[in-house]
Amino acid sequence: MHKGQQNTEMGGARGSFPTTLWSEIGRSKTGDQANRMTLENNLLQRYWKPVYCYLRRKGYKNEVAKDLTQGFFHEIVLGYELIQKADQTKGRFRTYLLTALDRYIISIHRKETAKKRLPSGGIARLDTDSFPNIPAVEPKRSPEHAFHYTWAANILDRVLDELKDEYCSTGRPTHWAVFHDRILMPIFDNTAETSLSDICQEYGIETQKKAANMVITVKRRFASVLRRVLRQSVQSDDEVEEEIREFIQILSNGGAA
Amino acid sequence: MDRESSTFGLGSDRLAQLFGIGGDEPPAQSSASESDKKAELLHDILAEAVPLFDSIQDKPDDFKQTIDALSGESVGKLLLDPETNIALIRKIKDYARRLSGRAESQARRYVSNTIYYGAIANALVFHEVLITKFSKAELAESFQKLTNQQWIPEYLGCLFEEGLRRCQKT
Repeated sequence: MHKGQQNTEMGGARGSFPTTLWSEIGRSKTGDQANRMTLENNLLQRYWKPVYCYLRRKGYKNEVAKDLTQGFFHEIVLGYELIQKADQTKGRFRTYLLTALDRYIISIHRKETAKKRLPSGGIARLDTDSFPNIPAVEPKRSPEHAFHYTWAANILDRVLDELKDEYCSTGRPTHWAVFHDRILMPIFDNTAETSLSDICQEYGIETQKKAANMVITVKRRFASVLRRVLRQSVQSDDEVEEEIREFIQILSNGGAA
Repeated sequence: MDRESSTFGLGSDRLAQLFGIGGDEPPAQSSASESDKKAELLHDILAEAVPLFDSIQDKPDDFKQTIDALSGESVGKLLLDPETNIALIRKIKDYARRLSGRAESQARRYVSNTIYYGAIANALVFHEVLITKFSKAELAESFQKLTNQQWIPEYLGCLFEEGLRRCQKT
């Protein structure tokens, strides 16, 4: 990957200070309400779905998994026990969260049912109507795999949505369409890739070379945006590269990290 | 067809393929045009938070106000938000000027200047305050040029158009 570019023009502004989860955690410890709310929103947005899917894969029924997810976020994450103890020198937040979740489940079992621990009515911020169905395609995967899978899918959705918005809002929808037809559609639909000649015909592109360059441009941009999004939850640029390698391995092999 | 659905639900191997797009070695020579480079660079800077330490000057009175206002919001969101505190808009303008001053490429200079004028436009449109020594006639000329740039996203273009209208009114 073009590491040099990542740190200069294309991958994020040199000299700027992108917000990372760890910097948000650090700021929230100061007790400022605005910082705390920002952190809470980001944690919910990024992690509630992986937590829920992990619990479902552990064998909890839908309603119990929902209750446990809400309880975990309400009591442990947003209750600040987790945040106060978070230490970036001890590894990735994702792994830290998963360990805390396991401990929470054990503590719940000790105190019998989850429902007895929950506040009446649960907490409002989790939209219980939008709890996802576990993908049926991989019933034999481990709970850890379900957690990492869901987290990875969230990341990819963010990257693809951002990429599409960027190209469409800057007068380059054809770039996005070409990338979509040539790269994304075959992955989403499990079909053969669309030929460049068909793409040229479809979108009125003069030459196949030009269409191929469009694909390369958007792929490079995809790589750049993916790194920026991943960078928000790790401590260094090197860890971003590790994350990508690790996710490819986890997802390819179905193993648990 | 369009990618309307989520990646959630695809097989793990497909997600790995998508991650693989990001892991591919890119060509040594970028094929992106200058316009594409500027669009991408601008998008990256707009998506990032205002640098915390860079924006806090040696003004203790300003410190708490700036910290409260920052809260991790992106430059793009702050520029488009009518509620963004005017002190913070000035910080963004100063930040953009510093970025421009240390830009190592023309594309970067253009993009920094765009953010600089974005801050001025925000102040003019949402706060009715002129935070620059440029005259409104000079600003109108700059806003006009910026509205014609294809690499500037529509939402920022709209801010410049409104800024232009405000300058032309007086």
